[in-house]
Amino acid sequence: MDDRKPTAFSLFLRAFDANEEQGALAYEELRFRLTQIMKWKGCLEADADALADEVMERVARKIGQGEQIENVKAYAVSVARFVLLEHTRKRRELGVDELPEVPVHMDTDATDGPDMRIQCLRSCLVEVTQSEADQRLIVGYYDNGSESKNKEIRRQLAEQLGLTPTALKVKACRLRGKLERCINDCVGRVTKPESTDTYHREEPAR
Amino acid sequence: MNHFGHEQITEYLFGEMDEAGHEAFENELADDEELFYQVLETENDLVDRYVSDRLERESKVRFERSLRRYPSRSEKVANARALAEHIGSMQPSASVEPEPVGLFAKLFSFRMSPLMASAFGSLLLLLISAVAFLALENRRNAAEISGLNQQLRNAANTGPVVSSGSTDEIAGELTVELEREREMNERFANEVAALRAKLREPATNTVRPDQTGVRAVTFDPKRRVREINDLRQTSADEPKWTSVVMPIPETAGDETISIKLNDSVIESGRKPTKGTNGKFSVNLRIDDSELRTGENKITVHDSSGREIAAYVLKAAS
Repeated sequence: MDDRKPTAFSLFLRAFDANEEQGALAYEELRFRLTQIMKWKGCLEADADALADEVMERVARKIGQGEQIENVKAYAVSVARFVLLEHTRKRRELGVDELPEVPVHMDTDATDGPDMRIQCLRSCLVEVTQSEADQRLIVGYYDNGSESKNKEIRRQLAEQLGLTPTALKVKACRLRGKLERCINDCVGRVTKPESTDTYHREEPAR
Repeated sequence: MNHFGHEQITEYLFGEMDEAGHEAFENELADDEELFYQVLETENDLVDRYVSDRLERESKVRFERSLRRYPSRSEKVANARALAEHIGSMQPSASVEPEPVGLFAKLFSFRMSPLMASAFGSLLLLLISAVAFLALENRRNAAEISGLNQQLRNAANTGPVVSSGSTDEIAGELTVELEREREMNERFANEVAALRAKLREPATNTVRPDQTGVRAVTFDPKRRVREINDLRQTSADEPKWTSVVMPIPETAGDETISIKLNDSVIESGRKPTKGTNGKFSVNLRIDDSELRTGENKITVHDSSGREIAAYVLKAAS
């Protein structure tokens, strides 16, 4: 029998599901949603990732301290609000917001060039998709033709993959999310110098 | 099943919900898988429609306004464009075309209007014809010169019996002929060079409207008038903008401020940002379509409407 004391993280996973593997999947899903919510709150991609991690860590710590949380997801969103407020305050204190509101690389095509982004996209398509079927899915699902053509392609895709339209949508959205993240990382590696912003390198408060 | 409709989802994505509605919506986002993916799908759809220019005018204006508020969306736009281009390149009609390489790849990787594309096509055709003509001419001339040389050799060997003129006369004719050929070759070479230059010209000057960079103008108390020289009187269809940073007096540091451009309010309810040096400033983004040629007065007002700072952005096309 394993009599080791469970870590805050494993307790966190169990808060999602008694099975840790299922819990880990739910953890990843919540992290993905929080990252997205941060972006919908106006964060840059890189900030959104770091802040989502901070939220997850705080929630895990709370659970590790024995706090009973009824709805982990809703709780995480409320923590996200505080974390974002702190982040905004810190940016102000550091004068980061004194820089132009629009980052210099805002119009991404202008700096990294469309060719490079397409090259990154092509390598990322292979990297993030687990099979050729996934590649066909993303290409077919987002084929930007007419409405009726799109609907028909999506219907056929769902049929071929044995998925409901909703399950297909979720799969396509997740794949696209992964793909975009991979492309942004790839473009960032190639075009941008290492960040001099020390804020994101700080260890979160313990 | 969530109870939020398409319009509410787009309001959320465009940042148009009031605070209470926004909070309620967000609470459901993390917990309701269907709603979350519906919002994500709607955003992807908006981005894809924007990229393929299929958004209605009003939605397009709202979308472009949202780009200021959600900077990560600009990366989504760039990624969507790359994805659309990749998918386009996989279409059967495109797949049979050879992959463009080198100069031509650069040349044709730009998106062109049909008119421009047709002009390029004609120029290219002209260039190919000229090169082909030049090659044929060269071959013909080479054969002719070799024939004449042979004739010259024969003349030298057989003397006036087989020649219609003296060796000197034949040599003179050949010199004139060769000179003419040389001039012709030179003329063709010049024409080809001119055509090549013409082809290169649009490639370096053609910039997709949405590929344009962002100008950054930082005013300081001693330089309250700044100039931009590449204003494009564009519409929302061709956005280009300027990031403007303006210092404001410390007295207004904690106040809510509003900003006017040419006496029209363009931002309100803003809080100034405090820099590491303790000074306050405000930054905003102004679309070219909002600027006019000549002087543009930007004023900052405190919560009572009093003008606390004024700047001038001089714009020339």
